[in-house]
Amino acid sequence: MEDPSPRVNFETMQRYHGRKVILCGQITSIENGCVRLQTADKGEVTVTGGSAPYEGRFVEVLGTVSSPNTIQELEHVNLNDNFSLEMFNELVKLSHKDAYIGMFST
Amino acid sequence: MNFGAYGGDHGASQFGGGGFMASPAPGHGNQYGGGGGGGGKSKNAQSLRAFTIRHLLKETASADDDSFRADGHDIGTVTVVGRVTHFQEQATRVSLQVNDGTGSVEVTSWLDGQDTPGQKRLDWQVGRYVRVYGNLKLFDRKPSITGFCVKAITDHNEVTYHFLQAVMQHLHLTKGAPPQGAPAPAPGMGMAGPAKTPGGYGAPAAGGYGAPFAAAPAARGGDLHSDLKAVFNLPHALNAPNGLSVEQAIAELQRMGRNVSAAEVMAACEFLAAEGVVYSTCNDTTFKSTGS
Repeated sequence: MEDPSPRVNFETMQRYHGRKVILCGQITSIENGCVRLQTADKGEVTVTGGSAPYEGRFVEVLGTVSSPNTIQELEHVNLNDNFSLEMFNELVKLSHKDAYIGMFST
Repeated sequence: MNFGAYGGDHGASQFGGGGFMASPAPGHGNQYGGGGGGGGKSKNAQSLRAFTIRHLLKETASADDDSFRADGHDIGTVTVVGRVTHFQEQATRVSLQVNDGTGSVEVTSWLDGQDTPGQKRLDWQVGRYVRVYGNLKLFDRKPSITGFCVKAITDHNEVTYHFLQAVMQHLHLTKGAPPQGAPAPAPGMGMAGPAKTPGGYGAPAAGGYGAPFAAAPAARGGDLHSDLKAVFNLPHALNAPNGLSVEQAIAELQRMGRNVSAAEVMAACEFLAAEGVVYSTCNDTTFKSTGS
């Protein structure tokens, strides 16, 4: 089975240095091709290397964790404005619990 | 927002009012697991389960024919949600590779010449999220899904919802249903608003489990409706032949730390009655939970 790309928030992102992850966040600024996101657990993450345009308030980024607060983007999906980051955060927490991590990764 | 309505009733949706009645224990027939053990195959084929792709592939890795089992239950129809990473259209079929971040699976959809409503091949572009309904099959000992319905996802909350549903169904099948009539004081499990803490499984915060009501938006009065529903689902309220009077309900609400006027509670009771959550018993101001 291929390697999973876990869904992460700022806290759990720290466990996946150099690995592919999926991060949802709210866009706070876009400058020089760098997109800054706020995650549901109030972390600030910079996304680099995106090519497709960003639209809307929320985005799901698939990318590689290159530093504790930077993700090198592979792809992203623009999300509707009604996207619930809080619920995404709950899913992230649940999917990292020992009891359920087998359904999501490892 | 009612994701339970996607593609009709696909079970275990506390949002869709799909009659997710608690079954007494794992191993008893239910909507998405079929009966364990000697259950008839035809009945199991009617069940529908939400899976993460990794869970699906893991559980079925040791299968050597098309009779798959997961969590000790036969698998009928499955639904997965993921991004299309590969798309190939042939004369009679379309193959998609779908990746949900946990794993990747091939989906084959046979074409019958025209797009059915809600299922448009144009929407199945690489990079887009889709929900697939289908049957798991082995091709060359490799599991793949024969999809009979592939829909593009337009609201990304459905992706989150799908994974939560997969966890819930896994728990329901491995640990059994939560106790029936468990109070449901946790607000925000409905998809309409931002979720608070969903809480642990089986904890009182399970949130509208098995109730047809949770999809209703929290109208004015905040979460009075769900609080009131929890009150009517308290054990003593369920056991009382006539349920609770509005006055008793107000007293219970006050015990929960809510101060609301009698008029508000009466209006909320009428709302719940209209939703089928409670019904009036001995008089117009006494209500009992329908137990759903």
